[in-house]
Amino acid sequence: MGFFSMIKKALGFLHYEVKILVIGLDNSGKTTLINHIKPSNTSSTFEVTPTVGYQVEEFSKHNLNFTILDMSGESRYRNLWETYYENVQAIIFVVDSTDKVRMCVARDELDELLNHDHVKDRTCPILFFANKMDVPGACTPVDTMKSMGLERITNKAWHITSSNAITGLGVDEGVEWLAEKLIERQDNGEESKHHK
Amino acid sequence: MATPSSAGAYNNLAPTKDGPWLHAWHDPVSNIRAHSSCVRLVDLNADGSNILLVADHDRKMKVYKGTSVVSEHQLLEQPVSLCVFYTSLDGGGGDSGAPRTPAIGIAGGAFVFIYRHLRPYFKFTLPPIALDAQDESIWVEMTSDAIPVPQGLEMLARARDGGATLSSWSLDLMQLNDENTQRAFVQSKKGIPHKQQTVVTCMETMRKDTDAEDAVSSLVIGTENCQVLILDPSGSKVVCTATLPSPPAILSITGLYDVEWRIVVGCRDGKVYTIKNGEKRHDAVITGTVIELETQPNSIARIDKYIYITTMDAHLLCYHIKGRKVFSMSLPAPATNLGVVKLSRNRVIEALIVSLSNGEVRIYNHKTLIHSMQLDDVVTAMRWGKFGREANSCAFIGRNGSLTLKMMSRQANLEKTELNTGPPAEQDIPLKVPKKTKLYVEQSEREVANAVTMHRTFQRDLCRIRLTTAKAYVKIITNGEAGVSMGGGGGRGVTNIRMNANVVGLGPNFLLKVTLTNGGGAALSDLNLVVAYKPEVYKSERPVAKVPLLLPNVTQLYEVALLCVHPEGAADPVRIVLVNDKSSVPLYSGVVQMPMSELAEE
Repeated sequence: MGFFSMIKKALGFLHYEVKILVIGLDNSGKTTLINHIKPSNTSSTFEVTPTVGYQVEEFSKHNLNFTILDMSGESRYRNLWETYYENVQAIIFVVDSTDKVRMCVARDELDELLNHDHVKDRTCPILFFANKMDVPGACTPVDTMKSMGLERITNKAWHITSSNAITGLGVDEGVEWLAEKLIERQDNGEESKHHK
Repeated sequence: MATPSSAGAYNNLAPTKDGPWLHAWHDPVSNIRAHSSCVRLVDLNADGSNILLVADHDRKMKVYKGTSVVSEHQLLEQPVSLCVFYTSLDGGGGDSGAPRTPAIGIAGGAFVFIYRHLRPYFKFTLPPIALDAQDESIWVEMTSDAIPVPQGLEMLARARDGGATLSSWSLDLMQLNDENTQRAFVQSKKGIPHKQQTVVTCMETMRKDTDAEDAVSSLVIGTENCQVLILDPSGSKVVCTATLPSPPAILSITGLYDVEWRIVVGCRDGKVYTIKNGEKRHDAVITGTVIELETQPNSIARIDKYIYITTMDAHLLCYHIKGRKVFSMSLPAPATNLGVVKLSRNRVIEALIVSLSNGEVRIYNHKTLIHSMQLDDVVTAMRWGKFGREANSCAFIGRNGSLTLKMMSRQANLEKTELNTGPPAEQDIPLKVPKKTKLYVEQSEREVANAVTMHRTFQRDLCRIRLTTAKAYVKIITNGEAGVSMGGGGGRGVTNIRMNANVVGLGPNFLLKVTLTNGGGAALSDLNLVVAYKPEVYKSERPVAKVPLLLPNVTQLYEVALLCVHPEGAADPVRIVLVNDKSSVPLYSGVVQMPMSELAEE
């Protein structure tokens, strides 16, 4: 788990909290993906049911407290997303790369996110997962990037990686990038007001 | 991936967004030809992901899952309508919790073909029409060779002239001219039971007892012989029949069959009828509410208590369910389709979606235009519903065979209120009314107390003023002072002389040019034109000009020279008087304003 050790390195012995918001449309694989980020249940392959409202995953590792907010992607719960924008250090946006028709909806939700008052002028990193890469006919990360219009994000660090949340393939790569960015920002003392 | 660090703002003007619409997918060559009743969005596999079902005009049922055609099925008849319904026979649903799979009904000709799991399952045939007794007996005799065909023909013609409705066999037979072909036609009908079939004109579904997406529902069929039939949920028999005055063309259904229902039917006679449930179960009543339209309707939609109708003369009409007209709105082009957008948020928001023949797609909330979107193609079919996993989607099929999928943004606001409705803002700004002073109050009180006296005083004074004015006027004209000719000219009646005077020169020498016209009917003679002036200002050699004769309508010019003798060149009005020796009153008089005079050169 390079992510945790790197953060630990960066923060020394400080008791530090990292809050990450995980969003994306319904059925994009957010909960499954989080199951791989979690230290304990990485090997679990239990049936994942649609999240209602949101789930909070809190775990402590290497003297760090992690809070991962797993938001429901269903249309009627998407208005909950914005209530957490203010208090998070990073955002993970999961895209179902097989659902080409709903890419426009994902893009619309991303627009909403990026134009939100609590996100617009901040420099918090955004990590995109082009999930379900194993399914035949899935878009490549570059195609996903184009249809989501990610190239328009110019004031934030962002990264897109393809993933398979069921096997965990590509998840670590993305999370390592996110860890790197968080360490960088810690070193630069950016957005310290958001830290505890 | 690159991490640009420039602080450029995020660009919101994405080309994929048009107002509330998100552009999901467009296939310009899908080669679909269909109208709205043949296009449905349905959860065919009960997996929460809806697919698009199209009964194409080329007799194919096409199944779209996502962006690709999954399967195509050949149809036996030209499709009229494709409906999806959940029969009570289905496994699952209700308490068992397992999702239901729907049945598909495709109407064509006199049949409704029912498919389950995309396989033909059952065929429902419309009940035959009762034949005319005469027609039937003639055919029995002809096919059993009891009477020769020409005689049968004659009898059929007589029956027709007698007002009988002939069967299609008879009509076909009478079309044939040659006796041999006629006989062959009759021969070919031997052994075939003589039945008259009607055809399906329109078809929709009605839910049975629960208002849910996958609730048990049944087919409602409109037929060419002016009937509306409601089938039982299995689709095998008719449970309720209503007969209208005209063949139904459009059905719009609300309510539940077991509770209360209402079918708004647009008929071919340009009227909109309403059928609702009767007192007893399986009873249908045609209500007295008949909406007579000026032109043919082409789509009907229902929201709450309102019926929305688009007509062929490019109008969107709204009627209350009781028949009262709410509004009529002219559209820029004739509408091709009318649908209802249903957004389920905190509360359900319903709006109208209208596609026009100029390729525009408009959203109306009641009569407020919310948004207008231009598509590349004229929409022939439109279906709002769930596509894939997105509930707020709309499929558009274009005239050139294009298929467009649009989705509605979560942030879309379909409740924009019209800006210029209600009282204007100025109404709330109070006028600056001055305070009532004591004087004002006293005056008002006096006016109230003495209203009658005040009015009379005012009227009397008004009369006096008028009298004084009239007297003064009469005095002026009788003295010949006014520029009005008067006097009898010696008792020869009123003359009518027009005079026009011009002053020529800068001074001190002036020339007064006077033109005289007799506007009356008789000639005037022995007149004198006299110029009267103040002797201390002006001097004239000949201040009198003789006018020997003034003929009617002949303009004559007279010139009188004047010299200004005033040392400072002052100006003074000069009076020109036309007199004759028979009257003491001048015939005409006028005043000429003289200009300031230049000083005489020394």
